[in-house]
Amino acid sequence: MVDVEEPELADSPYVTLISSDGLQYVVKREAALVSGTLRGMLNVDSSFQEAETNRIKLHEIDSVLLEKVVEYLYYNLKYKNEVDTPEFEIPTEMSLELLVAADFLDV
Amino acid sequence: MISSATGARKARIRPPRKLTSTQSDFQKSWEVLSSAIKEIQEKRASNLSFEELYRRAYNAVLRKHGKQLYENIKAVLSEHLENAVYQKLSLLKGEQGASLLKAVNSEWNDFLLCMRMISDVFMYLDRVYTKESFLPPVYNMGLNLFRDKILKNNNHAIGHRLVGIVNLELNKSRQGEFIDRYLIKSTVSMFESLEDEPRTDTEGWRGQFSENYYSVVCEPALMDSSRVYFERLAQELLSEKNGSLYLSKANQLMREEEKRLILYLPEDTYPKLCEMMMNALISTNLETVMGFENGGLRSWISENDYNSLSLLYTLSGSADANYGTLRFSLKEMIISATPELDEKATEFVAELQAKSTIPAKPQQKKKPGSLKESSTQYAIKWIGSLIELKDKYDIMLDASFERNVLISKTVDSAFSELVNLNPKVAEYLSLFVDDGIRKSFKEKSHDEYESILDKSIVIFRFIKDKDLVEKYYKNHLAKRLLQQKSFSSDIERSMISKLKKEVGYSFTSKLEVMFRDVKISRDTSAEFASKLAASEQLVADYPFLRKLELEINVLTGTFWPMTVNKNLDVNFPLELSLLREQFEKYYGEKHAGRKLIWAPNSGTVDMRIRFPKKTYEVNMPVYSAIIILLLFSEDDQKQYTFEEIRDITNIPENDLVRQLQSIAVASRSRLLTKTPMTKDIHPGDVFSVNEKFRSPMTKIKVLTVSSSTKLEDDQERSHTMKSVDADRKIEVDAAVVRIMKARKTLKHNDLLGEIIKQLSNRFKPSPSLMKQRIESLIDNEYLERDEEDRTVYHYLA
Repeated sequence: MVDVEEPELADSPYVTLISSDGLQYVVKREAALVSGTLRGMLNVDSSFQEAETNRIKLHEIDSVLLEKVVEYLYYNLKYKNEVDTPEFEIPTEMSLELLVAADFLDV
Repeated sequence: MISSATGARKARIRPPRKLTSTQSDFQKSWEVLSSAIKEIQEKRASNLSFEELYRRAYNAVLRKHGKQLYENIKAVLSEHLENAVYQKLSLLKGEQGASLLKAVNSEWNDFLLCMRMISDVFMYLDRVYTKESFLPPVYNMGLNLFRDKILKNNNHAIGHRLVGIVNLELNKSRQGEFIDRYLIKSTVSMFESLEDEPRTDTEGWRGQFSENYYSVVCEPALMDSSRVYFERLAQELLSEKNGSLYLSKANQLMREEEKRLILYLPEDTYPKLCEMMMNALISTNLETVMGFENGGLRSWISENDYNSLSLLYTLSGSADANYGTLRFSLKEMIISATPELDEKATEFVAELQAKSTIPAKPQQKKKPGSLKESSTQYAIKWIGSLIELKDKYDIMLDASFERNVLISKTVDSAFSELVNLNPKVAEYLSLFVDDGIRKSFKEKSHDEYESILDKSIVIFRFIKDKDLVEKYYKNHLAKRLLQQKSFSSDIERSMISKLKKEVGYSFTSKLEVMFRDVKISRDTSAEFASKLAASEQLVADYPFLRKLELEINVLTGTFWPMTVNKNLDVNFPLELSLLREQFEKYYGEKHAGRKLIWAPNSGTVDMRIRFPKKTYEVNMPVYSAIIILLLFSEDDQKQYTFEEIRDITNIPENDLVRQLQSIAVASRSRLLTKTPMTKDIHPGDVFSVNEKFRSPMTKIKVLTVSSSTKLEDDQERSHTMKSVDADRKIEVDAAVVRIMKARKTLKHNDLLGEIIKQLSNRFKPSPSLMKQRIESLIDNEYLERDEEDRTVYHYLA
């Protein structure tokens, strides 16, 4: 992931996810939409702050966790429609935290 | 999230970070959330962080505040709807029509948007709490509130007004006015998305099965007002009193209405409303419409208006798949055709008579004959018209009714009824075919007369008393065969094979024997002639034998319809008696044991008569020949009285009267003179050779009354009916015996059923006839009744 400083445009194909410790992740909108929660935030019709700015600050998720989450979002996007998927590596020590984050993000 | 099994080795699992909020924070969170809802409702959502709101709701749910949260949301939404939206809309009381619709619609759309956002924020609540407690999700809860607080509030104040407006607009559109169809459509779809009573049964919330505001409130109102509209429309159209106009207008209106329905109303309503429309415009009024004199069923049929008929077919078919009313009317129409047929036939005969009386001067002698002649023409024309009528309906079935099976059946059964309404139809039909084979087919091509014969068979199929047809057909066929009147035996044979195909071998077997008899007779005649010429002794004895020819018909007595008088002992002149003797001898040698009975009352003689002025070739009945050969062949100008002639010839008196009428009174063949010169033959009249006989033609034919086939008079008819009745008794007897022989034991009603089935190709036996025959068979000990059950019969071998 690359840290990008400048804010994204409203209809950009990328959105910025910001971890609780301030790190920014620019991900494809498509990937972000895998998460039900993020989908709700980015819904253009409902014009919440997040939808307007394309920046989502996630107060509950730190950068380590967010990185893994983003990894998963891409992983899911890539293998969504496939049967034979390679395993998604989850470090044991992160599993509980990830579980909570998953619940929160509805993925 | 997909978990991994790789962490099998011991590792420190980091516990999830403690959630920051605590129990007591719920109130604080709720304040943020409720104010956020307000912000959303006021369209200032861009100030809000979804993440924060979501997080607060999420935490509240995690901390088991779901129920409280749900109730709070509900309260906030209710309050908003009641106080803000409803009040606003209530202010629009004065507003009419579309503007109220518009206002409600815009509120509705705003509300929907808010609900979408709110429900997004409370996504986690839906996912965890509402599902578990079988409550509608936040979004639907909001919609229900809208229904209850806005539409249903104050006893449906707004809801009913809206429905009324939709109705009004729809009617406007029916009048051709332009209306805002998106407005209507969106209002209707709003109604549709408002479920009526949310189901909260144990299986959870199942919105898709519940009724919605549209189907509960709006649709019935729409149906009612539409019904009124259609009924008024129908009355208006009916008042024009023109069926064609009615159908085409109704059809057009319905097409328009269907389009309108597709545009404005949900799919579910379409079939219901269409059905209602059909009912109001078509089903209820179909009978009236068809009954119109101007452009009703009768005029369409008589004018071959296939377009209106097709329309009628399509419309009545879509109103009623069985075409009940249409079929009923068609049936009535066909059955009521009798007077029409009678009239046509009468007109035709009148025309014919008018034609025949103009050129020929009215002849006294012709009167009684021509009356019979004309009634024969009447019969022929009657069948002709009937066939035309059937053709007309056949074409109509093709052109307008898509050969619908039900309608075809109805038409057939109606024709069958029509045909059997005429008690003389069997004779008529036979006469019609007879006339065709004798005369009218001569001018027609093979295909043409074949098709006429086929049509006759169709009529035949309709006739109930087929045995009667057989009887008449046999009579007529016999005359045709003996008088060699059928111009083509191919036609005869084709007709018989058609009959055979229709009702089977037993029906035509007798007819075929008749054919065979005639054919064999021809061979026999030829053989006899050559044999006669070969017997030199005989020729030497009677030189005039050389000039004699005999064409004989040996007929199998039981198969031919004519009655033979066995006691007839007419005195034959030498020439004829010689032939008779020789033939009897010849035939006796050939077929030992056969008895020949001579029937001089049928058959003709050709002879050459030399009158002072000229020699004529005369064809005359055998009786006439006997009279002339016995009495007047010499040149001695003898005179005989009626009584003398009778005694010498031994011809039965009534036959003699007819013969004398032909040869002494009829102007064209007056070979004898009669004193006094009156029309009728009386005892004591004196006859002599008419020396002054003149005729423009060399060949003369002496006509007898029976030479052409004619309609029976009442006396003959009753005679025929009597003989038919006698035959029927025998046929019923035979059927009973056949059935009982096979079944041994049968109940009365079953037996009757079997008899009717067996005789269906012949006639329909009446119950009384069958009963009578069964009784007589019991008397004759063919059957017996069961000792215990009197309704059961046993067959006695």
